Amino acid sequence: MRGIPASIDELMWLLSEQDDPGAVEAFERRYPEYRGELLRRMNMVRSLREAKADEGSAIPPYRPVRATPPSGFSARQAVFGLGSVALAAAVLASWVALRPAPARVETEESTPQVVAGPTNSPFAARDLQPEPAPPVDPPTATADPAPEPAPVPAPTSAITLRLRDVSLSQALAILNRETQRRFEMAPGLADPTVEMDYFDEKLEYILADLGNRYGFTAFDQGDGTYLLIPARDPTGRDPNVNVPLPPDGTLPELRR
Amino acid sequence: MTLSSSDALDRGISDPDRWLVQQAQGGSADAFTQLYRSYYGQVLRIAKGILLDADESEDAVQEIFHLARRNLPRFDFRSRFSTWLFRVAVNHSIQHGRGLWKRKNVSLETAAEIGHSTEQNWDREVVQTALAQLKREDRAILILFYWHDLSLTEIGDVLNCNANAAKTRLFRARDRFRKIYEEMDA
Repeated sequence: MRGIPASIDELMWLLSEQDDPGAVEAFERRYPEYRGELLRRMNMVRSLREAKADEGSAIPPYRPVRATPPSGFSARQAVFGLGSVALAAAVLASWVALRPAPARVETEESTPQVVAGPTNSPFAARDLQPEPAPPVDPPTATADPAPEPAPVPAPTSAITLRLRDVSLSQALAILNRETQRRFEMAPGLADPTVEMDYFDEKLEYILADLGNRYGFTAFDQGDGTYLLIPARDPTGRDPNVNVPLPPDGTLPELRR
Repeated sequence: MTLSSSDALDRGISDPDRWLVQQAQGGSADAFTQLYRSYYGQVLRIAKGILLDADESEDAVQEIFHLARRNLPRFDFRSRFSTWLFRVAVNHSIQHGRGLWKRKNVSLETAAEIGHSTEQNWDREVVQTALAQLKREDRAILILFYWHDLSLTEIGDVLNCNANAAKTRLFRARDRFRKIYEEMDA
């Protein structure tokens, strides 16, 4: 407290916490000007101690449960998640922009390459070559190897998530953490405050429901990335997926 | 702060629960149940002090004992079992509370109820409401000190810091509590 020397301040807390009337009396004799302050502290400490929560009258039997991870998150986690996504996007963009052109194999005489066009004659191209090249062992490494097919991401398991008063980008960061999927918000997509309460739902359903409520459509890019664009598909489905309409032609309502 | 085995010996840590804990580590369900019954009340009090919600606290206590049982094989008596369990309780209660967005509503309800309370309960409710306005970390240190009567060294062990740091944190938490308490009590 301002104006009270630190040593007296500490002494008053000590007296407030110890039930020693003799010590309190001695303090009041020596520092009468702090009597009121000491009394206030003693009352506060007494109230705090008396407000002690009870320990419960009956002990319920131990029932092993699985500790569920909290569905909330801290702002620090959200910032970290968004920062990671932004950094990954920047690295990916720079890699794509600076990637060297595919190396071309030049012959020593720089002879023009002959490209076989579509023809029915199996000899049409070979006839133009001076000598057939001798068979060689396949190289162990090439300058520009053919890109490997993108790994198919494992299907996401059902998700249980409850969030309130978070921005869409924060919610996506949490979904990213829970599902290992990446979410990219297209330019122009608003970042509204969203509310999520899903129990044991598939990611696709969650994205469709969120999109329906907050005005975007999530496109599955097939490599574990979803692109969110500011448009709303009334079916709430990924238009890349051909889903037949019901026999009556009406669109099913999304579950809430 | 971590204690080595020699630290524990130097500090004279003799754990009254050692035998039961060893039995539980060996797979005895009865021994763990006995530990559960011994500490249920204290762990519930920690959870209630941090979460300020009876139902949530009871759920949290079950989760805390589940965590304790799962991690018991790694407990190596560098501190007392009770200290270790309280550490699990504090950490899990704080973590559990982060998932609850209705805390603010609970606080407001509590504040509203004060207007209808009897004089006898006035102090208790003012304290509860003031605690509700503190951070969970502040609540944790206040209840360990004032409700569980742990020493600063024990609090340091629970909060994974040294006694001086625990003292500083206690002073700050107490000042914040006092400011709110006196505003409400005025």
